[in-house]
Amino acid sequence: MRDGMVAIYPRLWRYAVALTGRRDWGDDLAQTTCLRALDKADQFEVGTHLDRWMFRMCQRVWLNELRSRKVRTGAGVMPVEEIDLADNAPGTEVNILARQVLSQVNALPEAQRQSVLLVYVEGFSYKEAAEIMEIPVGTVMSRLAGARKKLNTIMANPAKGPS
Amino acid sequence: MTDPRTFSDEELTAFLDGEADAELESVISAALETDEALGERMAALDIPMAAITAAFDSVLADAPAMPDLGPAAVPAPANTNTRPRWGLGIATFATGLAAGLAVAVFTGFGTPEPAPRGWVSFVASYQTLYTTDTLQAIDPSPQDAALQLAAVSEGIGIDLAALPQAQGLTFKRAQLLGFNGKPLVQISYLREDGTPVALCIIPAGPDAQGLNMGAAEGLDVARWNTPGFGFLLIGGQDAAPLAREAETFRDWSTDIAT
Repeated sequence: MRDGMVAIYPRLWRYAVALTGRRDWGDDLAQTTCLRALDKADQFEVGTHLDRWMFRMCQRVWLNELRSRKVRTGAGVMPVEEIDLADNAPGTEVNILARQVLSQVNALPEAQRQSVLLVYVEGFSYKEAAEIMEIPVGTVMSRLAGARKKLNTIMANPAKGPS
Repeated sequence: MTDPRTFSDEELTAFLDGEADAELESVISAALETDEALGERMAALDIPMAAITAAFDSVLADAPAMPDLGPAAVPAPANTNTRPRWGLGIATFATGLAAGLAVAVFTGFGTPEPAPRGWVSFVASYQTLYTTDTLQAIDPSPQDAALQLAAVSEGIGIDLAALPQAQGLTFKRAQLLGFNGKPLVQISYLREDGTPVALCIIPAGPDAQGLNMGAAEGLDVARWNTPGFGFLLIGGQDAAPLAREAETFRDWSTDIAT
């Protein structure tokens, strides 16, 4: 279990950062999720997918425990400098573009951002993503449709977007 | 085909993501041929997928290691069965490629482009570039063929070792491509008469669907689904041999799906 978690951790952390929209909260969320996973290791069904199980747990921890606490402690408004996910990347042209893309995805509402990460970045099917987010497949579809529309507008016309 | 069906953004999104079922896929593909407004709506849903995945790949490289969470007082299950992230083996190569693509896609984005299309349409366009000569010179040994099939099997999650030989088709090459972050297997064959034919497999929804004949980009296609996978046999302008070949592959795919 622990070896599996170590292997998944970078992806879990990336998911946590996308879910929370901030690196520092992503750190907290990924760590709390690992602790919770170790607590509940006996509930993990061997032969099923550890990554999906942990991603599902990550969302539960975020929704049930961390999000309200984070927002209540006055950090509800996201400072611009926190949006950059890849803040230590060298400033090559590609990395500047990557940062721009990440900010734009990060500017999506939480549910859309989360769906984009699971389906477009992680490559989960609609059905798998629906199971991870514990929502109907139709909701995944409408979140992605919404995300596509917004990203299309922002990315095609940067001047109109929050950039 | 004349009824002007209106598609929702959700349906168009599913189409773009390769998640539309065969019926929706073919209705939208057909409508796109004639309906300009639909093409525009589709274009308004297009996003620079390669740039997005490349950007998030760079985040992964940035991820901290898992912190030491203290001694675990829990039994360790033997099989953690992590998702085999397809393409991880070629990730290093792909990162460079994706970075290049990110620039290309990003700088090209926003300029007028043809409407985006579903996976079948992409495969069909690609297949139209194949000629007899493309495949004639390729002559893999049985060992090479087995190695290629083993590699793509791992990528897609189906065991292709026992892929049947359809009468009249000679195996040429198996490779793992990708469509919107999903693995896409392409197995190339040359028919006796020199027609290039390809069998393609992509992860799909849970419902099985029977064999359907049709056309894309001027090539004949045969499509069917098993739970979890979509299959496409494509090539030539003669439906009769294609249907026969498709049945051989379909029977095999149905057998391994159960």
